[in-house]
Amino acid sequence: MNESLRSLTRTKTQVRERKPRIASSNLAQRKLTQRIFFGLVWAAGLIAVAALVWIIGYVMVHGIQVINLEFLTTRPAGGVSGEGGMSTTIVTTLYLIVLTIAIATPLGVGAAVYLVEYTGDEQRENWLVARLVAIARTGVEILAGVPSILFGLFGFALFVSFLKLKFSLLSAGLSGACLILPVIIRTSEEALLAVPRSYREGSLALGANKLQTNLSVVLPAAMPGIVTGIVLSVGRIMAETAIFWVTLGGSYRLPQDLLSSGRSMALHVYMLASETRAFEKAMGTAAILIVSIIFLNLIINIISRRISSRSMGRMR
Amino acid sequence: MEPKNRSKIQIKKYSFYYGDFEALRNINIDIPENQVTAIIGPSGCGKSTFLRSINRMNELIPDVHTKGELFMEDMSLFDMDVVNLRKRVGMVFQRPNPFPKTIYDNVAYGPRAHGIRDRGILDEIVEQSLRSAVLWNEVKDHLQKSGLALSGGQQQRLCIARALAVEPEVILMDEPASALDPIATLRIEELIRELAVNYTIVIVTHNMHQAGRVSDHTAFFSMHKDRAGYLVEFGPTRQIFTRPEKQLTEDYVTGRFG
Repeated sequence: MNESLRSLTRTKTQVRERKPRIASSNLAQRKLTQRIFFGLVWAAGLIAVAALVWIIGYVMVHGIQVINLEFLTTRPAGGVSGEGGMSTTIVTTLYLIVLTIAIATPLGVGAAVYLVEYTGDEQRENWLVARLVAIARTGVEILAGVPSILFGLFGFALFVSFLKLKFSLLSAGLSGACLILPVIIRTSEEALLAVPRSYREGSLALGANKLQTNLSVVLPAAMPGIVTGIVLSVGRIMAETAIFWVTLGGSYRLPQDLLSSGRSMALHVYMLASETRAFEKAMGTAAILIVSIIFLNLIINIISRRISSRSMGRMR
Repeated sequence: MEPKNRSKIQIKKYSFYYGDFEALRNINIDIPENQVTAIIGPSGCGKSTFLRSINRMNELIPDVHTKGELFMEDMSLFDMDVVNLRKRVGMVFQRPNPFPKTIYDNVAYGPRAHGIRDRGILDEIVEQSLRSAVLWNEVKDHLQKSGLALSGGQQQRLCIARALAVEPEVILMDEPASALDPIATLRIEELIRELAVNYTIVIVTHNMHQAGRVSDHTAFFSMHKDRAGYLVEFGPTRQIFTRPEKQLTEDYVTGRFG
């Protein structure tokens, strides 16, 4: 009895004495590598932000000297001295944005809806459709990577020359629409793919047909993503220069109709910097351009947050 | 033992295929009207596939085909317009799936899809449906809140209200309480019993106790060696759980396999 009890305690001790195979002895080293890695990531972030701040700061500091109400409200006078303000370029930019988005959004969103919601059925039934859809998808991928000046040359050849639309808002709007179409299609496609299948099933199970399902459930649910794509496009239109150089012309007058030439803000920056002595006015215009792009992003952020919070209902 | 009610849906020699894979083999069931029929069986035996055959939701999946016939009151489901079929046969899914819309718009969605625009009629339908789903008292003061802001159990009752709003005759439920906590589950089960007065209900469930609590009739599915699902036994729930005819059924309901 006594003997067996002792043997029991001995085995227990032996178990306790077994050395653990995984020791936490490398704790200090792991902490160190963690700290080094954190430092590297932090530095990378800092450099990226610093570069951005520097560029914006440089433009702001140089631009602010010429910015005043008069600069904003008078039109450019033309000539090598770069006299005058930038009023018409602001208006032209707005015209251009509205026109481009109005052309590209219905086409782009429509194409995305077709590619995501409808191709499945048709591809199964018809190999020709399947082939065409595959080509369309690849085409969108390639178009998204084409340099904008190629869209400009295309627009120049087709709209300006062949269709005789001249250097005009319309030519520029159509070319700009070609440029942003791939962006809108791809972001809309992704937004539609992110809509849970359960929404579609829930709607169809109630006896709604496919069109009703797409219009009342799928598209509203995808709206924040689609809006993001449109905003990216607006930013792109505001920033593009080359494509409008060969389609919009460069007239500093206010466009009177769709067929008149004009000058967007970015184009104005380019022309002031390359063809006049008014470098500080180019900077001033650039500063306004940057500020409007930042504002645009802020506004859109607020809007899309409001859209999604209204549908997700966490707020009220 | 024959069901005492007349049958609402008749399934005759029904087989279902995903491509070459036979998911259901030769199913024959008469689902009785205004009663709760539970479908039980091990995972992968085709319970959900069977349920989704009744409102033809399986047609959304590519490369499927069927053999045999499904009738609702002597009319073949395949001859009916699918929109009309789904108006008459509603569905409640495993995970609550309210639309990202207001509570009101969730319930009014179906009626609107079927062409009702009159605000007064819609108000009436919304209230009635929410009352039937025992959700009205909890949400009547904030119908304009998003359906996604509700708790899981409330969301599922909202989905039931949404299904009721199109005035269906049959309601299919695919494990409607499996994503819910025990209290919410109990409320859904009580609701199912209440709804059975006016609706024919077919419910798929993993939970045998749930089948025992809510259903009048139980169909036990299992699968062959080649994984094709088949109907082992169908009868009044009490009989299936106490004196089943087949040994396999007894093994399953007593928890010896599955």
